[in-house]
Amino acid sequence: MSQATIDAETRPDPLGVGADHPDYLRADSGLRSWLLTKDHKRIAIMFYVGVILFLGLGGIFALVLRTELLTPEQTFIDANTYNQMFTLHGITMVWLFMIPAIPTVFGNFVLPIMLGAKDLAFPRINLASFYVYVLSAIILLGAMVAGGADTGWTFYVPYSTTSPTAVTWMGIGIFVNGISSIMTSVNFIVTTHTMRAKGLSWHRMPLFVWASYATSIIILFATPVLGMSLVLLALDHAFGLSLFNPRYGGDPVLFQHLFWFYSHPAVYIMILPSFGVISEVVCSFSHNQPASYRAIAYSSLGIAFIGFFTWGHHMFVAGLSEFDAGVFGALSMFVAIFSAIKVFTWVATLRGGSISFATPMLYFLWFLFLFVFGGMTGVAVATQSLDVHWHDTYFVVAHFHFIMVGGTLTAFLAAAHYWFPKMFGRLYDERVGLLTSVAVFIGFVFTFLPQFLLGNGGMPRRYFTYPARYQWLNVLSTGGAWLLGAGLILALGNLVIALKWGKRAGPNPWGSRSFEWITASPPSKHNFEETPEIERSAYEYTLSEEVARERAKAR
Amino acid sequence: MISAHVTTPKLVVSWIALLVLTFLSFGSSLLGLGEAELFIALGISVVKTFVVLFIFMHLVEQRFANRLIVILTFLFIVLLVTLTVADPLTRKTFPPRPDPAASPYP
Repeated sequence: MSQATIDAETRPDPLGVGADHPDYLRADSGLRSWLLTKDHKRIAIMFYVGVILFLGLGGIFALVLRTELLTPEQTFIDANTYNQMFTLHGITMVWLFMIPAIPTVFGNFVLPIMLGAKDLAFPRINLASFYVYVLSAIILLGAMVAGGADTGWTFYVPYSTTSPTAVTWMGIGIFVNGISSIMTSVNFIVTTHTMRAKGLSWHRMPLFVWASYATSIIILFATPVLGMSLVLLALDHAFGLSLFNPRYGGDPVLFQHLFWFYSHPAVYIMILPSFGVISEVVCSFSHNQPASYRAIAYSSLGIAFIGFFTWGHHMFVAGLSEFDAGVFGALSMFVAIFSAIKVFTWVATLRGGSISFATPMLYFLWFLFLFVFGGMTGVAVATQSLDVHWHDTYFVVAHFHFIMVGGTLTAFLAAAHYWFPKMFGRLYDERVGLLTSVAVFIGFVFTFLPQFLLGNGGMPRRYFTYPARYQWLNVLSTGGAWLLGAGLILALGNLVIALKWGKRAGPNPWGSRSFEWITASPPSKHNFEETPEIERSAYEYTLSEEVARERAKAR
Repeated sequence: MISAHVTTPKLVVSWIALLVLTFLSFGSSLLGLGEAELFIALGISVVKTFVVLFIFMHLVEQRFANRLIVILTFLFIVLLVTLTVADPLTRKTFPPRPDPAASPYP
C-alpha cells in the first residue's frame, strides 16, 4: 500500500490504540488493585520502585566507601565496616539493581506491547516473580542487619566458609533472587514464542525483544549453577562440610569455576538488555532503520552463547592451569567481536538519519563511550600476561564499572527517559534531562577514570588504607562519585516532578515506528482489544507515521 | 506428527532398565577399576537421566524443539564439567616440561 492510498477517514486513532479506555494507572484503584494485579505494566511499575530503592541503597554504600577513601588512613569508618560496605554495595547493586533493572521494569512494561500481546504469557508467574524478588530483598536486608557480609560480592572460599558474618543468609537471599529472575525469563521466552501478533515474524520484532530473549536464555542456563554454588557454600559455612577445603580433598578453585560459570554470563545478563534499549533509542532518535537488523539481533545471541565459554578469565592468577587460561583467554576475545559488531552497527545507523539530541540520545553517546572504553580494557584484562599485573587492582574495578555499571546505568536512564511518556503519558523537562545526563556522565568518568590509573599504579582493590601518593586520584574519584550521586538524584527528581507537572505527551512523542508506540500513552489496561496485524518491521522510517500506523493495524 | 507414545509396557521396561543400570553402577564400584570407576558411574547416570527424561517425563512425545532444549541443557553441563575438569587435569602437565624435582641441579 502506498502512502497515497491511505484514506483520510480510515486513519488510525491519533490518540493511540485504547485511548477510549481508561489507562492502566486509572483502570482500577486502591492498594489491593496494585498488590494483586496481574497487569504486566503495573508489575513493571512495582519493580521500578523496588530497583530504584536498591539503586539508592547501593549508591549510599558506594558513597560511604568513596568518602572513607578520601584520606590514606581511616577517615570515618573502621576497617570491618569498610569490608562490609564494599560487599553489601556489590550484592545490592548486582542482584537487586543491575540484573533485574531493565528486564523487570522496561522489559515487563514494553515487551508484551511490542509483540502485540495483552499481557505476558503467565501473568500470575509475573506477579509471583515480583514477590519472590521482594522476599529475596527482605532476606538480603535481614542478613545485612543481622551480621552483613565481609567477603566481597564474589564469596570466594576459603574465607567465606569461615567468615563470622551472615554468609549463609546472603547465599539464601541470592538463591531466592535467582528464582525471580528465572520466572521472568520463562515468561519472556514463552511470550516471544507464542504471543506475537499476526504477521510479526522474528525479523520484524523490535531489537529490544531480541535482547530480552537472549538475556532470558542466559538466565535460564546460568542461574541454576549460581544457586547450586551458593547452596554448597552455605552448607560449607553453616555445617562445615569442607566441600572446597583441600585438607578433605576439596579444591577452592572449584568454587571459582562454579561461581564464574554463572557470574561471567551474568555480566551479559546485565548488559544485553542495555543493548536492546540502546538499539531502540538509536533508531528512534536518528529516525533511521538499523544499519543491519540481523547483525544486532544475531550478535545478541552470539554474546549469549560465547559468554558461557569465557568464565576462566577471572581466574588467571587463582591457580588455573596454563592450558585452561589459554583457552579461556582466546575464547574471551570472541565477545569483543560480537560487541564490536553492535557498536559499529549503532554508529552506522546514525548515518543518513535525522538525529535529535534528546536526553535518551545523549545517554546513548555516554553509553557508547563507557562501553567501548570498558570493552577495550576488557580485552586487555582478558590477556593473561596483562591480567597478572592488573588482577585485584583498581584497574579491574574501573574496567567492570565502566562496562557493566556504565553500560547498564546509562541504558537504564536512557530507557527511563525514552519510555517515560509511554509509561506515564507525560513529558519530562528536556533541559533538566540533558543537564543531569551530563552530570551523570562527568561524575561517572571522574569516579572511575582515576581508578584505572590507581590500579595501573599498583593500588589493590578492597584495601582500607593506602600510601599517600595515591591520595589525589582517590580524591578525584570520590568527588566524581558525589557528582554522580547528585546527577542521579536530580535525574530522578526531574522524572518524579514530570509525573505530576509534565506536559501531556501524546501517544508517540518521539515519532518512533516501534510497536509499543501504536498504543495510547499510557496504554489502556489490556493494551489492545484485538491482536494487531503487523505488515512491517519495527523500523520503517521511510514510511510516514500514518502509513506506518496503517501497516500495524490494531484496535 | 508425533508417533511415539509412552505406554505402560514401555514404562515397565524403562523401570527395569533403571534398576539394571543401578545394579550395574553398584557392581562396577566393586570391581576396583580405579579412575575409570568415576567415568563409568557418570556414564551410567547420564543414560539413566535420559531414560527418565524421555520416558517418564514424556519427552519422547514432544516435538523436536522441546527435545533440543533438553539436549542443549545437557551440553551446557558437559561444557561446565569439561572446562572445569580440564583445569586440575592440566595444571601439572601443560605445557609439557621436565619435572624440576627430577633434576634439581641442571
